[in-house]
Amino acid sequence: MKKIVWVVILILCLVACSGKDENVQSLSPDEVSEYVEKSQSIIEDFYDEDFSKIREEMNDEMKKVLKDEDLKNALVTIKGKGDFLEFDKADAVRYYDEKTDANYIITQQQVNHEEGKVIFTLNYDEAGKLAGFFFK
Amino acid sequence: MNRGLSKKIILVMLGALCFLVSQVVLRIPLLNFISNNLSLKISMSYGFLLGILQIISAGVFEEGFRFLFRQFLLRDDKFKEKGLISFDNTIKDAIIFGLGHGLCEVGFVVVLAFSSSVPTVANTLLILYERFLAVVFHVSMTVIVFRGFNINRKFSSLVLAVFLHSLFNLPILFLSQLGIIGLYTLMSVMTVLIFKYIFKKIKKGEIV
Repeated sequence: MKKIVWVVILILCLVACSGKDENVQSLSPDEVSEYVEKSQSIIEDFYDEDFSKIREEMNDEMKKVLKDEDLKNALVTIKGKGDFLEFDKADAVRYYDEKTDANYIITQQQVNHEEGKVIFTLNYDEAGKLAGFFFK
Repeated sequence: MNRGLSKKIILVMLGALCFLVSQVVLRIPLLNFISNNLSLKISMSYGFLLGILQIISAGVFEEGFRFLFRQFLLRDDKFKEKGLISFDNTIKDAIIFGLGHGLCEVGFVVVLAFSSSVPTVANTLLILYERFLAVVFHVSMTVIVFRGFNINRKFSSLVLAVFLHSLFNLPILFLSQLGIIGLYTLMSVMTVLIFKYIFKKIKKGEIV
């Protein structure tokens, strides 16, 4: 019985230590709309393999790190999900990164395909330039 | 096919079924449902907490179902238990059940890993080593849970297994700080320590 009590106390301590991340803030509905539309446009360019248009949206750091070849290889992994059907749920938040002392807009967009869904996460810096491009 | 071999096959299949029911049928769809219905703000604001709960849920579901399978599907006639299938209740049987569970998980993870793209040779070796650790871990947890029934401490053995399972998975939350080598080193150390614990119990005669 003692062992059970200690284990439960340890787990509760662990849970209590993981507080709320205050660096995440809501956006206004207009801001959410603006960034979601921007992300959808970039995703469409990605699917159309119009990588030069995507590069125009990137910040300087991203341009150095992410090449067209990487985007092309990434697109291949999505092909297995079948044809694009529709944009589904989307959301956006503001996130303050303590390491870089900068604010970012993080958007998440679900895309439904014939044989599954893909969730894109696009990050924008304070100048509205694309700073991150991920999907799962 | 002789009875001994068919019993072993049944145990392996039960172990595999235990993984499929606890993870594929129940836990993974539940976690997907929860994450699909959480707003981005909530999932980012409480990212660490959600990670901890995800890790604890793995322990609760996998060890919980190991316990339920032992309680309701397996029967040691020496103790006049009421399970469905009679078995010898030795450490060998616990190992066989654990192998069924662990190997089924290996198959599931490998199929997932290879379904979207073919990993590099280095990544494949890392995946296989991690899966080897996972199989050894599942065998160990099965031995611990089943031992609880033999020493009349089934519930505290279950809690211990849930705790060890959560602890084993906890370093995953710190992957970016540890790096993959650091993570696997920590998991390897924990596996060795769990083995030492089991050998201690074997010496004491609590596991036969």
